Amino acid sequence: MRFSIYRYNPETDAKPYMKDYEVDVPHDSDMMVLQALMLIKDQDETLSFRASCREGVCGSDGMNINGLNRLACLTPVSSLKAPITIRPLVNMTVIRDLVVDFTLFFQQYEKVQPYLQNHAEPPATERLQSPEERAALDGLYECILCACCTSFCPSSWWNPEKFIGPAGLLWAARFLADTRDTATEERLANLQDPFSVYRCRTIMNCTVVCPKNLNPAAAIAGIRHKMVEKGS
Amino acid sequence: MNKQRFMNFDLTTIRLPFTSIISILHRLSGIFVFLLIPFLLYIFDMALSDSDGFASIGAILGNPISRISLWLFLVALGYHFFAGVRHLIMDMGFGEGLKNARTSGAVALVITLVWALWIGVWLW
Repeated sequence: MRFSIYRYNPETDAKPYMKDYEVDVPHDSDMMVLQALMLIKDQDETLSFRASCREGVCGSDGMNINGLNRLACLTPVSSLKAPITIRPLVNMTVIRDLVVDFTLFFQQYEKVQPYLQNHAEPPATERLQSPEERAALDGLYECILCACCTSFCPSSWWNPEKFIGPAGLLWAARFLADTRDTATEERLANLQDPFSVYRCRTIMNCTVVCPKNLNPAAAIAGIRHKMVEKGS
Repeated sequence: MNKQRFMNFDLTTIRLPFTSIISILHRLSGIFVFLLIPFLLYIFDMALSDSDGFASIGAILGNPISRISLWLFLVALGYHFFAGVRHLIMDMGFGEGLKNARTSGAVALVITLVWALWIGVWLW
């Protein structure tokens, strides 16, 4: 099976180019794209990509495969039409080959203060939640920060710095939904400007590509609802 | 060491999901409607000026090109309106899942198609 892969080494290349590789994929094989990339690396050890857990937990191997951002480790080769085109995540600075710079992505993540804030005296054991309160976090806490969504969001393409992007906003929604967190008002006030949240146009590219099947678009709508309720 | 920075950003290599096409059409129809407003205001002003002016509108709209332009304007206005109502419904908390968003997008397209046919019959 033919793979066409985006290559760029800043030490030797004037600009990025596509390079073709052949991989033997047995008929009815359950090979994932990540395994195919490893076989390609056996042929050509100069190929660079990130990977770690190989099972969709670490979020390292997000890349654009046949036009959609996905995790290479969760994408079966058999689900794709040949030739398989693999490019780095969209609209992120390429460090080398399929490895991209996450600096801005993590700055956006940091902006939403992704940690529990509660200045009340901690109880002797833990801060308890009812099963219903805990269930409110489902669909929000599972994000692995692979950047597939933010890198595929047209609003983030237009305003990569001022719009926080779906991943960061999903995390904002996760802490807004947490009954143990007491910083709700401050969190909403931080997001109040015209760009941070309101550049979202519910295009839903984030929801289409999320490899964990989360819905950042609905989470962002939830933030807007909370803003309206608070009258801010 | 090459100091130039590169990004993978080539729209021809990106597969656009259905919901993003709904969104792009929403934006394009908005721009198109906005750009045609001066033309319509001009016609409106002429129609209100006097009976000669009103008669000359008939001549302008008798021209197939201006009639097609008017049809395109109304179709774009209709799509912009229906897609906007779709967003209002979603903002009320309905149909925020991906499946429902795809369905409501398709519904907006189908209603626009019916609207386009109806306007076409009315104009010709």
